[in-house]
Amino acid sequence: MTTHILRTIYLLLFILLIVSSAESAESLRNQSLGVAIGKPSPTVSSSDEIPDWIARWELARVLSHAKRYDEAITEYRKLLAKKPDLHEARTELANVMAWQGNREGMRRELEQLPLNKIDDKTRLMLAESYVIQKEYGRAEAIYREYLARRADDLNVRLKLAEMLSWGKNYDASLTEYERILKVRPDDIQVRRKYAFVLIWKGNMDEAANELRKTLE
Amino acid sequence: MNTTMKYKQYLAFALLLGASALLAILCYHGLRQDMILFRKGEQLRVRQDFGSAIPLFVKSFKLGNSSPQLLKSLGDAYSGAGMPLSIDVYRLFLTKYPQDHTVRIRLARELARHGRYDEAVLEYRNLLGEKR
Repeated sequence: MTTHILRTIYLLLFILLIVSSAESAESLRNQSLGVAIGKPSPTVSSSDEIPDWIARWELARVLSHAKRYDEAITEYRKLLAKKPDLHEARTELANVMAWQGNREGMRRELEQLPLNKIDDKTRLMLAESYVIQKEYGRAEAIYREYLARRADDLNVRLKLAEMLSWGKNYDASLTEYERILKVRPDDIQVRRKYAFVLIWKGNMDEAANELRKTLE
Repeated sequence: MNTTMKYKQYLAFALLLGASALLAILCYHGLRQDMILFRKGEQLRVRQDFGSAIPLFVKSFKLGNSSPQLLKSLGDAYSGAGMPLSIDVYRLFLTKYPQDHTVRIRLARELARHGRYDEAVLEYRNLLGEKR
């Protein structure tokens, strides 16, 4: 009789064990996810997982998308004060300054960066800012380095050609125009610009020929 | 004879145990349907099958599972599917767990992604402890 009672107790204990193990497996699963089901817990959060500088960087980007440029610049400055080597953020700051019309500020920021850390688009913006400041030599260096890699970019080649002519470097300018016209012989606008450079150089006959071609 | 009886007893005992284990499993499936749906949803979400995961999470939620993990996963699934409902789910989560920065940054990102920049800025500032 005692044996039967003991067996029944063992059996009940075993059933309880199975049920509770199913429950505890569930709870373990949730604990491994770092949460306790249904209970608000202050330990749920972990601010360590997101460094402040990441949040600030994202904030700066959102502010710039919202065209709240002054605030964006403030956030970029705070970010760069803590992470001065964050080249990508400095490039973004420079871009925001350019959108704001502050080319001088943009230049200052970009000049703090090694040239190989600046993407092409921003590098060309920097070149343009040099052109505006009539620092043609610096702009030319950027354009030439870019064209050495992207010889097919005729728009940039045209900018270089124009800039060289403004700097009275007519021969170099004409060479660039000729390269463009070799690929786009029917581009009337480029041919007219080419003709003007010929005029500035004093090659009137050649210029007249080129202008005539644009009228045919 | 005595030995045969013993084996029969053991067999009966083993059958009883097996039946009770089966019963326990069935009970669990019956009682915790919400958790089973959640787990299935999680598997789909991990496989980035957000469209299939969302209905399972929603069903689990309707069955009473309002665990933080479910809300996070539902928000993430909506976010993965590019649906702005993620914002509402993250907000619901944050009413319960306002200190969870991992979800607040997800909310901020979703707001920004859907062009709600001003609200996103507020969330980022909140995250940085610069409430305005």
